[in-house]
Amino acid sequence: MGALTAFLALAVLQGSSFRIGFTFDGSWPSMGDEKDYADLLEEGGIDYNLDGTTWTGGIEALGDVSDKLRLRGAVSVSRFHGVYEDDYDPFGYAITGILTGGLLFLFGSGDEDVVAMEDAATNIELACYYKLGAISVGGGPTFVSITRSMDTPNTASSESASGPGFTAGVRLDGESGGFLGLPIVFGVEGGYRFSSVSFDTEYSDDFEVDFSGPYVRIGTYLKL
Amino acid sequence: MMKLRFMLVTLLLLFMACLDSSYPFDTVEGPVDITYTLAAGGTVEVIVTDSYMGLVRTLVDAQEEEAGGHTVTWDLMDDDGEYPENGLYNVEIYLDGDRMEVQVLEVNR
Repeated sequence: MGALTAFLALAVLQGSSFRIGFTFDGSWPSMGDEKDYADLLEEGGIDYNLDGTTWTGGIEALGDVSDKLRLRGAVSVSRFHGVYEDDYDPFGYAITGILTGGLLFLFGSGDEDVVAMEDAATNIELACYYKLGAISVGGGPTFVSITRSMDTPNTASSESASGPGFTAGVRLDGESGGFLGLPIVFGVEGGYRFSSVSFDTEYSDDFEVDFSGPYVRIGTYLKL
Repeated sequence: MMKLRFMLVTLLLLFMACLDSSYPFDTVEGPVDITYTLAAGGTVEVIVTDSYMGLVRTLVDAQEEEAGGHTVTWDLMDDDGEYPENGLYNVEIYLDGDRMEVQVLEVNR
């Protein structure tokens, strides 16, 4: 966090263009071990489904330290799910709905998460980009902290692990603009994220939660 | 009055039946018998792994077994004689090195 603060201070002091805003990205992580675990549960007769796409929301700041160099700092949270859902039988769902005065129909989804796994990653990213006209190309180190939780009807467990990573991408940033009289600009980035963390648990020391994969990110920024 | 009571009891029973759900795994609180059937004889290994696919317990270690039904008991302990945390566990049955069957158990001691 210290490096991130120093970067932001540098960007503000040096920057001819500083912007801060919210980002949202979709990525397609490899999650090799999660897929192997899903296959194991499938063999055990559990119709366990993994997300295909990971969604990430974050806050990031961008600042130019020269005509050619743009720095970026970000904090974001990614979530990846695996779930086995048990569908209510239609008769039971109807009866329960009637007995609850219709509340089930209003608030219930008609199915229940029996086995629910969530990989939640908190990412701290620093990146440097070289500006090539309207686009910029670059990357930088990341630090990721992941919590993997697993809930079943009667149990709940979670483990955490952390490690370094790296991102590389190509950005396209709006340099001027306005929205409702505010200095709001937009940006888009596509690239590849290297972000894999090994979990060292009591019985396993090589289970990897691997968020590595291509991503597309969009952002809305307030230009200062 | 009797009719009303009868209706309420019926509705309550229906409600309980609706809440009851059968999952594709058993919840176990104590020692559990693992049964499996071999189509052919061979070298058998039965292990228990956790939700990180880590080895918790070896129940049958490279043992020659004949075709037919077999049972082995898991006392819910790991190889060190300790109880692992509650959660989802997989009983993996291997025949001649190939995974033949997986049984999933929810352990809730």
